[in-house]
Amino acid sequence: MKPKGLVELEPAARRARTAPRAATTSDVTRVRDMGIAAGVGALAALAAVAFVPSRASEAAPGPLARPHVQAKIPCSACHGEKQAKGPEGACAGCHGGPAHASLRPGHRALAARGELGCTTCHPAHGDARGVTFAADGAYVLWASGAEVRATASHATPAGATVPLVPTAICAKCHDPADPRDPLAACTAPGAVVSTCFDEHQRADEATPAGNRCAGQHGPARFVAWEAAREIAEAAPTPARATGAGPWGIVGAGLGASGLALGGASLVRRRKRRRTGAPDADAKAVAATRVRLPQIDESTCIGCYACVDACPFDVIEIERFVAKVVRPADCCGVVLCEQVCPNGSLRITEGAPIETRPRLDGRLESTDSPGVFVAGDLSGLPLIKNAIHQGRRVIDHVAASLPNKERVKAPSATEVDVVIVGAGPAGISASLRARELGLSYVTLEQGTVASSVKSFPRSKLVFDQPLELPVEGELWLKESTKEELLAQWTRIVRARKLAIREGRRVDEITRDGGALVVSSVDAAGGRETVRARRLVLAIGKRGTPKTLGCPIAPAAEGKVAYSLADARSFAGQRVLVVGLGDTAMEAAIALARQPGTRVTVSYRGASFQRGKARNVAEMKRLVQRGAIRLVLESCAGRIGADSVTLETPRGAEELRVDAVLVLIGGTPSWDLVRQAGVRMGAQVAELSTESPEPAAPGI
Amino acid sequence: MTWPESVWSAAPLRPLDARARAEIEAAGALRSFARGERVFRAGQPADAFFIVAEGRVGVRAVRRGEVETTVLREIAEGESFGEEGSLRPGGTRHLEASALTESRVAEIPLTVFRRALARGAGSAELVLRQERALRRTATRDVLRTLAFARHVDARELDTLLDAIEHVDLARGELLFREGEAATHVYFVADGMLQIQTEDDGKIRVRAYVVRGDALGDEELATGAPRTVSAVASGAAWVLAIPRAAFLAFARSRPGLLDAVRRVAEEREDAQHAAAGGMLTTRHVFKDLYRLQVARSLLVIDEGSCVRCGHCAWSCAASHDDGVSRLVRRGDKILTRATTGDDPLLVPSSCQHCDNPACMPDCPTGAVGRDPRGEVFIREDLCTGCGNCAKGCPWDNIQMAPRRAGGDVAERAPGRTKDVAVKCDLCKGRSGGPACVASCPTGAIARVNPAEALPEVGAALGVRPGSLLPRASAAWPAVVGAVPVAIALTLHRATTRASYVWSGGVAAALLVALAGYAVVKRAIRPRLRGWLIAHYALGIAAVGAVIAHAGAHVPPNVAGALQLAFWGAAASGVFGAVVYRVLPTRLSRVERKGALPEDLPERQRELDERTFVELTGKSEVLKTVWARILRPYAHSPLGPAALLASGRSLGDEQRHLRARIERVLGGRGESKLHGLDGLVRLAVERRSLPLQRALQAALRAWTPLHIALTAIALVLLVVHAWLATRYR
Repeated sequence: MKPKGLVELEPAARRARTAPRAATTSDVTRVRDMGIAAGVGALAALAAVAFVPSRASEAAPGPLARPHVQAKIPCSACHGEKQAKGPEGACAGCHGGPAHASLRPGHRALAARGELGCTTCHPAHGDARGVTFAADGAYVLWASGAEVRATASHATPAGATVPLVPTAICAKCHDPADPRDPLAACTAPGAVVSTCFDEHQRADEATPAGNRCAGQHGPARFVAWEAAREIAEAAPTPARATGAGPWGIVGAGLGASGLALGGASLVRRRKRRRTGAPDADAKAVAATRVRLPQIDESTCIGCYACVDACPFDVIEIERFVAKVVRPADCCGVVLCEQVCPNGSLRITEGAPIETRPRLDGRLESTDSPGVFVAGDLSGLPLIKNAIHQGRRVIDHVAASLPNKERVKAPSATEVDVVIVGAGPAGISASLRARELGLSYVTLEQGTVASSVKSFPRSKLVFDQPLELPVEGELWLKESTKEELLAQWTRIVRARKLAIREGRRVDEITRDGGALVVSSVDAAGGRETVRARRLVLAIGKRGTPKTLGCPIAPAAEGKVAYSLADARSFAGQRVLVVGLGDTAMEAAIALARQPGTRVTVSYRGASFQRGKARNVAEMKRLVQRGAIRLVLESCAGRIGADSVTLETPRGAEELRVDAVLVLIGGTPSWDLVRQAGVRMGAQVAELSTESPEPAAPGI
Repeated sequence: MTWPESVWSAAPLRPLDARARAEIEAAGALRSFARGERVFRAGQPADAFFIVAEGRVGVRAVRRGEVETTVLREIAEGESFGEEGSLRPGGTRHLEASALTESRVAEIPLTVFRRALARGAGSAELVLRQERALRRTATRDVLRTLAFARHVDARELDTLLDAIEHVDLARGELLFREGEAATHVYFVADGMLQIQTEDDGKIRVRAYVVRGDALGDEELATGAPRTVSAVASGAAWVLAIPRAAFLAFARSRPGLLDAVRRVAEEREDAQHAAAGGMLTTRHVFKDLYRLQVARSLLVIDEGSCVRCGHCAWSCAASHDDGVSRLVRRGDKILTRATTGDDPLLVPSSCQHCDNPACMPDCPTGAVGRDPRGEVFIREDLCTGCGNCAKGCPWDNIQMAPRRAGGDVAERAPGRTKDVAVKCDLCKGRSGGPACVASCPTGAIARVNPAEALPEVGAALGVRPGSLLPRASAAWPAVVGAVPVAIALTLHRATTRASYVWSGGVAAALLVALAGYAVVKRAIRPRLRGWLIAHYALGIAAVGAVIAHAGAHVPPNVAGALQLAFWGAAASGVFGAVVYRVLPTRLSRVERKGALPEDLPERQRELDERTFVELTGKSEVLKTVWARILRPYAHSPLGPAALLASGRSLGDEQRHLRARIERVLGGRGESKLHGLDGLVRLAVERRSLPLQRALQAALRAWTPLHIALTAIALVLLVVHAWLATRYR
């Protein structure tokens, strides 16, 4: 039968390891928000109408002139059935017609042609103005919808009303600025009302209409005119109708709805941030004891939730229930327990772990005060956790370092904190130190994130199934190695992080309260830095393990300890030593290159570890002949163009162009020990409180 | 013993003892069929086989490449048929059978038959032999439906039967890989496979093969290694015939290999013609499998989609939990089914597959499929493990907080706080799915792609049926409303009575216009007609307001009302114009369906990708990026230029590529590897601000329109109340 295998080439065919979560999109929220905003806007407009009313009545184009309001003239008096031709005809009914014919020939001629009516100069609504005198010199200067009450300084005719014609009305025909215009005689330069009151009846003539005129204008018209002139020239024009006005009402409504719209989105954003906020130190510290999932087979429904959640393929489904198949790979991060739908999977704690640094809840060594540990070294795996820890550890450093203990004048030889290692945890710590204003220096033996750099090309840097809280900006969701590195290098460059590459720390000593960190570069140049605190973020990769066999000087160039890009080995003969995940991934990538012949040498007799996917693909490729697997073998000697493989069946001479040694690394335990950090079970209880900044203003 | 002896003397039943016979009689059924009556049809579960007791029955199927059904086999008395279930447990039928004469047929459940056989007659060898016989007959039926079977006599095919192996593939599983030795020839019995090649890490699909097609025959004669890979697009069932057996068969039938090749070439030509050269990545051809299995696919015509999001909102509103099953993100497909050259957006919403990938993945059987083909989730059974959501290749199932009686349920044993939700076609809602009904422009539709999209039908060899439904046009109503509005303005109010009259008309129209929002939210009818009515009423209302109030704005509530109305009218007109003009422009500069909130993220993503693309590339390429592409992508007036040019992203890419080639003049050509990717990124980067602007134009006027209308309504009430107080 045909060999079959899963193709990892087509992304659509890759089964997702995370179930997509329903999220509320703007499509849904905007309709709700717009409803709220519209309601708020309408209420605000209503409030603007109610609390800051405009004086204008609804049926009129402007406020009614004050005398008409006082006399309670109904709308129907002017706009009734009788005035079919317009309201103009109604004036004569009260004011008398012929007596009010203009004395000026020009105006009279216009009136005769019907082009000039009463309301032309005296609008009943809108810009009607005048002065009404009360007893004791008190008077009201009124304009459209507004009035000013005052007392005249001299005698006034009580009860008289003098209409004032705004020059704006005259200006429809006249030019007030032209000295040759007849209007010039009636207005002072810049005056807003005309002060010629002899339009209809000369001041010194007797009133033919008798009582009617006296009733409306008062008996002593000349006195009234004089007083009105004085008031008009001296007093300011009454302010126009105060109130929201049409623009104000609509503006208030729109403004309020805009605020409501903005407020709604702000509330939502804050809510989202709150629900997505990381939960303190819950996962900042590695477990103290061996943890292993225990599965109740009678209730397990075989739903794959835990299988997909586990980053290290510890669990597999066998005969419809989950089984722990690689207990050694369990990292103790309880993702599987969190996703189990019915509680069939529980994490149990076993024996204390002896191979982890003894740390307290603040990631500080319990044996060596002032020395902190972050990242893989602390026993908690995953890049995400390292980023998280790097940030946390600096928070704790800052909290433990009051202002007065900090280095006053940081220099190249004296800083607050030295960070050793520029991997995910180290970069994250450097970034945080910069944010908090701590003086720091980061020492890295290789280059920034060199262990991430050695990942295979385009490797998905762990598509984390559950939402671990990640602080800081270093993380990209479901990114490839290149994307992650691109962002990190950009941040390192943009923030000008003080990372010194190519400096290997080889000695840590104590001098009073300070730690003295000594490092060398490739040329052997030694430097020492005094620091108040030390953060060890050196990871577990340490220095790659080497083969214990002699390497011919001519072959040194072709032995590599990491695979950056399989494409560069196209068409070559490559020996891969090791059968861990890294080695298998490298071998698979190499086997896919055209013309590359891959041999894998492993000292064990069978597959012993590694992800199920890698093992399956390896077996497939071996069966197909794309990879040659030599078990129970070890390299005896590496020559210029060949390698001697020693096996129980005898030595074998293998011609190769390159050798990849991928057998893991030795962590720098020496350095850890020098710093005074002891291994063993943790003694302190985990602290869960968030550290307070030591000094205000941080 | 009630069943006739003709049944028991049939080959499969002959070895059974009396007890086994009694068991089978109890579990099975003896049914009578009139002439022409259907015994079973395609799509039914294949859990039983049949034996003719009396009469004659014909087994029929549509052979690949043909349109009408053909009788594959005539079954006489004492012969069995419908053994498909023996090949794949839990499968469905692909053949149909009907009585040729008046017949009586015994139906025998496969499980009962197997149990009786295993227990009764004894030897394991017998069980195997009978099983093999059943499979052999079933395979013969399948073999006769293949395309190449048309060129071979039906009986001759039987010589191949013993060589056939059955291969079951899951989605993404490889049948053979490029470069492997050609050991078998394959015939697809069910499902779909894609023939693909790999080009610098990118998959290129060369052809799709479906039921009845042959694959892997090309290299048979020469023995050359495979030149292509074959991957199952979805769950597939393939018949494999070893090379030697097939060659021996072909040698005795000269011209057979050529015939097989000719059938494959015809198919490929048809697909190429349907796909229009397959050059565009957005084409239906990119993911034909999705379109093949979809039974009710949600598509949005990007040429008329105004990005209002009513579909997603109405989906959320018509479900109790307030979670939208539809997200307007997804791939676009080009098709001739649309009016213009605009693509269709396939948003993420359940497409009710023929063979849902989510269904077998569910550990508790909560995912079901009803007789009409609708796939549904039983919320009570759902444990919230998320397996179905992970299994759906198109992310059409989401995990949402579980609600019980309005509250998020506490985590009880056997239930997570989550539950899987997906489109349920608005079960129980009269008038069909809410998303389709609520689209104001009629851009969204649920279709069966094989019927509605001509290319899919052609590529799959299915007759196209109904095309995409068309939205009704708005212009007749709009044109019709203009004279009404003009007639209204001619009745300029002068007297009180005319004021009351015109004011009443204007007020009624304003209320009717605002009523659109109520209809939309409360009744949720088919919105297209209502929007057209809204347009017409709006135009008439403008006339009524001019008649009532003229051009003068008094400084009072009436004036404010007038301002609010004119604001609402102006924003409404703006909206109507952009709805008509912008969708096409926007769809040209979009690569995928994106929500406004995705665009800032997309910009960051593009910048990241650029960085990744540039690392490790030649200096020439980096210089091209720095000198030409970067200024091009970040130019402040670039988006405006893109809009003015009217070019689509593809056109713009070609244009930019030509410009670069002009500048380079043939220099450094060998070092330009990766330029295409960068050009793609630069063009998309330039289009992003334009996308944002166009989306904003399509969406930002609505809040203004709605707020002004609400303000106008309130002011209308105040105005009417105040106006009645003056007499």
